Amino acid sequence: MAVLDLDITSGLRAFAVDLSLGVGDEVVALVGPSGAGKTTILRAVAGLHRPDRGRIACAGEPWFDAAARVDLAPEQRSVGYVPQHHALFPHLTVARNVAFSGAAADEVAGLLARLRIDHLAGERPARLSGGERQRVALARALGRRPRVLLLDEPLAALDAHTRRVVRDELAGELRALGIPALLVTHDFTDATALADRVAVIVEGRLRQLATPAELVAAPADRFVVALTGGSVVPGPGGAGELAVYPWDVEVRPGPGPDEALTGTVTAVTLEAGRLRVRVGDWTGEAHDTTGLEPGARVHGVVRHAHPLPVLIEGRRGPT
Amino acid sequence: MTVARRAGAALVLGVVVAFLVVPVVALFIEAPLGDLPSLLRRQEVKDAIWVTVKTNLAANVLIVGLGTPAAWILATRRFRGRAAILTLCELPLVLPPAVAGIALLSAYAQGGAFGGALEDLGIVLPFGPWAVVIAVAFVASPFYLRQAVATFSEVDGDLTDVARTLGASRTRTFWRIVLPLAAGGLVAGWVLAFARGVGEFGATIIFAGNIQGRTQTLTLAVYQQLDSDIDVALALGVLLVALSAAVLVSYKLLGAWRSSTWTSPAGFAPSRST
Repeated sequence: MAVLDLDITSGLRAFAVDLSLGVGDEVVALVGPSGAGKTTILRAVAGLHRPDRGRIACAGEPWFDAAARVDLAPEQRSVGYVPQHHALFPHLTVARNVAFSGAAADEVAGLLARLRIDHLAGERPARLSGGERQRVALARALGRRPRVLLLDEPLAALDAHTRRVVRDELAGELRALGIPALLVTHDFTDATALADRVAVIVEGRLRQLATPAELVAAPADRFVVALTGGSVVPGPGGAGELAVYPWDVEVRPGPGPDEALTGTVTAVTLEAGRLRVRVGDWTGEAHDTTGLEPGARVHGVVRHAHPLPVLIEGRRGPT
Repeated sequence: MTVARRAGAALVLGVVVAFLVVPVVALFIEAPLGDLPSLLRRQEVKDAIWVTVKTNLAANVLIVGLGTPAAWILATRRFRGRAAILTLCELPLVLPPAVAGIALLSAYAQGGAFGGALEDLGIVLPFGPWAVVIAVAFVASPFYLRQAVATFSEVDGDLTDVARTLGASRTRTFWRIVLPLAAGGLVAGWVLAFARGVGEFGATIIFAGNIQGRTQTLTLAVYQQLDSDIDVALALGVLLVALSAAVLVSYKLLGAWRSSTWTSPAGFAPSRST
């Protein structure tokens, strides 16, 4: 059963955010390109943005209801909000930042210990690293004992190495919390690591809502395919379109049989220990680079492909 | 070529510095520094100090007390006419002080636009201490308002947003987050307004007159003493130079202190996506 229910419409400059979403005790990642309205959705839940129409309720209690003229102030809602760049209070120490949430001294100490930042209690935010700031922001949000957690690009400000470490820690924290959490990210890898379900948002609308595995197995449209790291290729005999993922395409030198994908190598990269070969519009994998130099004619043997549903781009996707 | 350039640069800077410093140095040369303590204990000097202190105190209470909430509203709300109000707030900056004085007279003197109504209420402003307060507040308030609006605008909106989600009301957010972060900028603005207020002359002499013990401030006393006792005028000059130097130094120190505290590293700057 959904704990957090939202059904909102909000006009932005270029398009309108129009979203209906139920979130249980789970982490839902809002994923999409920059400017898709993801942050607006978080801010609406937090009470920092007033939608034009609709309703937001937590455990049945309305936080916003345009028809009933209900609009609780942010301090009257129970949200833990971690904005992009974390927004730590620069004039307060780490401990006082966390205590601002209303948490008692022993709760503050407990949170700092749990997030392994107790040694930083007396420091000012300007002296902290990106990962430390992220933990302080999370501790402060949790000090509120929120019923909903809202994280806006929690890993965006971190370098690649710190990002992996913090991502794993955050995933553990989120699992342990067991409250509805909405997480904004534009990175599908972050979404798969942190979220139970992924809501793909493009221009304010939900394109697809599914687990990361389901998104890959049955992408709703070309955008979802691209987001999840796949490529769209024509189906056999030009019938329909197929989504293929690099791990399902074996790239071999030479022109290959008729039904194979063909093309010219544009780039070869090593990603997560696997040799990725970019061939025009599609990407596959290979065991070694022999005969796969950029410019070489190659073909790809597709082991598994996912047919794309025939739909008009931009139409409201299935949920 | 380089030598010539250097000499040229030194000459230009030398002329500018000399132009600015010579009068002040001359004041100290001409002033009877040995007699300073006794000169500053003269009744007309003591009166001028007292009038200056109490009128400026009242004016600064008005400027900060009304200016701070006004600046907060101007910095955080977007509404029709906001730009016009911001421009109007800066009007006294460009208005010649004498014009400010005649304008204040037109508004509040007997026979002026609102003078009659005020008189019916038993309030007569011109040529009394409150006229000094109003003249000082009128010419000095833009210095505080401008700086306060700029300072409040610099406070990252994410900080106030997060404070609200953490359970703080608007009022608590203002006192606990906004004010501590803006304090340095507000004080810097106030220092400028204070200096302008103490130096006020033109609007005051027209709107409040130059009445010893009532409306005669330090600057008006300098003007008066030019005719009666040049030594007193010079002594007052030294006193005001000392005060101005103290204001300037504290303003500079404040600026250095502001830029060294709670500055976040680059890349941590406030930004907001949709």
